[in-house]
Amino acid sequence: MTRDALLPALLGIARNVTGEEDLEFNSQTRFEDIEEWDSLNHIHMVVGMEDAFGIRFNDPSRLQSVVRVQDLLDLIADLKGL
Amino acid sequence: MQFLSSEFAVAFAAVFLLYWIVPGRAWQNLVLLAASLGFVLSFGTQAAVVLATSTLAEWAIAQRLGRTEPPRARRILLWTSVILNVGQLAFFKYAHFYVPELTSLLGGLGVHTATLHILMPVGLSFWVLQKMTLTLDVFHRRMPAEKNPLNCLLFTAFFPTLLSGPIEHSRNLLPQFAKPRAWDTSRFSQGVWLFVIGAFQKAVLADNVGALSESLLAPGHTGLALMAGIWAYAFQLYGDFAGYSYMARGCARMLGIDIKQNFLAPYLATNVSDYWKHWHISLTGWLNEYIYSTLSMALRRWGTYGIVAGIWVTFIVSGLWHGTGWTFFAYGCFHALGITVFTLSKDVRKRFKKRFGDTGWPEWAAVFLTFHFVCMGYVLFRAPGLAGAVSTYADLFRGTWNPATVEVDWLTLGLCAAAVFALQACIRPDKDVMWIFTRPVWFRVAFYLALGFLLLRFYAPSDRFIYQQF
Repeated sequence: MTRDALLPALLGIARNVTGEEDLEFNSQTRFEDIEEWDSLNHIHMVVGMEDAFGIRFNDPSRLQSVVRVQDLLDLIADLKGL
Repeated sequence: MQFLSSEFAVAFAAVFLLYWIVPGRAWQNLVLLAASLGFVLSFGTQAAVVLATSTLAEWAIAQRLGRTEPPRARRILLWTSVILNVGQLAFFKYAHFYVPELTSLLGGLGVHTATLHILMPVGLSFWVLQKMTLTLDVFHRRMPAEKNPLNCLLFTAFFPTLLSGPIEHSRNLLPQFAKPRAWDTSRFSQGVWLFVIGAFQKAVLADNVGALSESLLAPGHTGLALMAGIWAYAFQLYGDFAGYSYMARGCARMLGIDIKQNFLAPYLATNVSDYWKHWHISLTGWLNEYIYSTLSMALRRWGTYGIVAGIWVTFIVSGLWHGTGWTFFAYGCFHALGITVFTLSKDVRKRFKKRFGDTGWPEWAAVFLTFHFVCMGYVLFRAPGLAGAVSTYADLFRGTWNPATVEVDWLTLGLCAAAVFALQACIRPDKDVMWIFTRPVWFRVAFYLALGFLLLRFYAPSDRFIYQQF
């Protein structure tokens, strides 16, 4: 998987978790602006990302520090060694 | 020494002058530290000793943590801090649970139970959580360990936040202590405004409506009169605690320090989750960051069950943080239940909205229902025991609900309600009270005059801040 493929994959997971087929965001979107990304979906998203990307978010503080989608993509890329 | 006392006014004026006269950051911090320790000492020497020694212990742990890399060793240091702090809270806050047993044991050693009460340090619940962030922020690598123990002492004892918060993070305050602070007239004006609006909420709103809540919540009242007492208590609690928090922010800002906002129009919340994002924000944020997030992440493979477990543990801890006894446990469970229902009903609400559209549920109805859910929680919060709370709930269904036949000072209650909701309606859009500085001069002058008149006419400060008992 390349870095470029992370965003479409992430969008797919988010649509699957939230049940919103028309959900849209880009790398610059802030998570606080994604209405569907609430505390409940956040945990489901974490599990979805771990399963889809084959990673483990062992350090919750790194996840807590993400503000924009790009921050999360960078974190996933780092954990996957991309 | 309380914020609204002549002693505090004189002491603060002296500290303020000295703080802005001395040259440079180091001297300013020294003035702040001396003032903060003097503030603690005004409540007793034992309080100062407990605060100072436990802060130095926290500093030592954070220092060691900053130099430690192996994850297991880091976790051991973190748990050492957690156990020491929770132990400290449990020892002092829950002393009355085990005092009978301790009495005989300590009596043999020559220490009497009265000593335990004297040792209960002021603001313990607030500054212990604040102090813990010295280690927590280093553990989560949000900031390096603070090298100077005096800065750690200043952080824990910082007098504006000492008694009732807002509960600060070391990552927010310590960097501010490390930077030079230059005089800024506009920030000073903001500080004065924050203090005045806080004093208004405490000494005009809370303390006037407080007398009403005391009388209406006394045994013997039922039906609408009792409900009026619960409303009055809701306004009193808000005015009392939010008033303190605004005064604390005001004092800090006059000294060039920014501390976080603790209340943001909570009674205009449209659901219980929204309420907790706007009520006692610093505690909710602390619990959310260090308990809910950690727990729900650890239990993420449990799916929704893990999330629900995280919610219940967090709110039960919140309840027990407020006080000992089953009423506070029940208060935590009450809100945990509310949040759980709200969280798990999300899909149902979404389907309902899709089917019937957005028209059927006006926002005021959501605000009304949320406010009354919160009010029902206050019954548990205030009751001396579970039996008393159950009896209050039962009494609501007895007696009359005819406003013409109940003896309630509707004018005072109505004015306080109008003032609380109007103030919150002004705060909500700007997310702060700083809206006043964006208004035309004529409006500001008229507002200040009206506020000054109300302060002079209805100023009735009491020595008591409800949240200081926690």
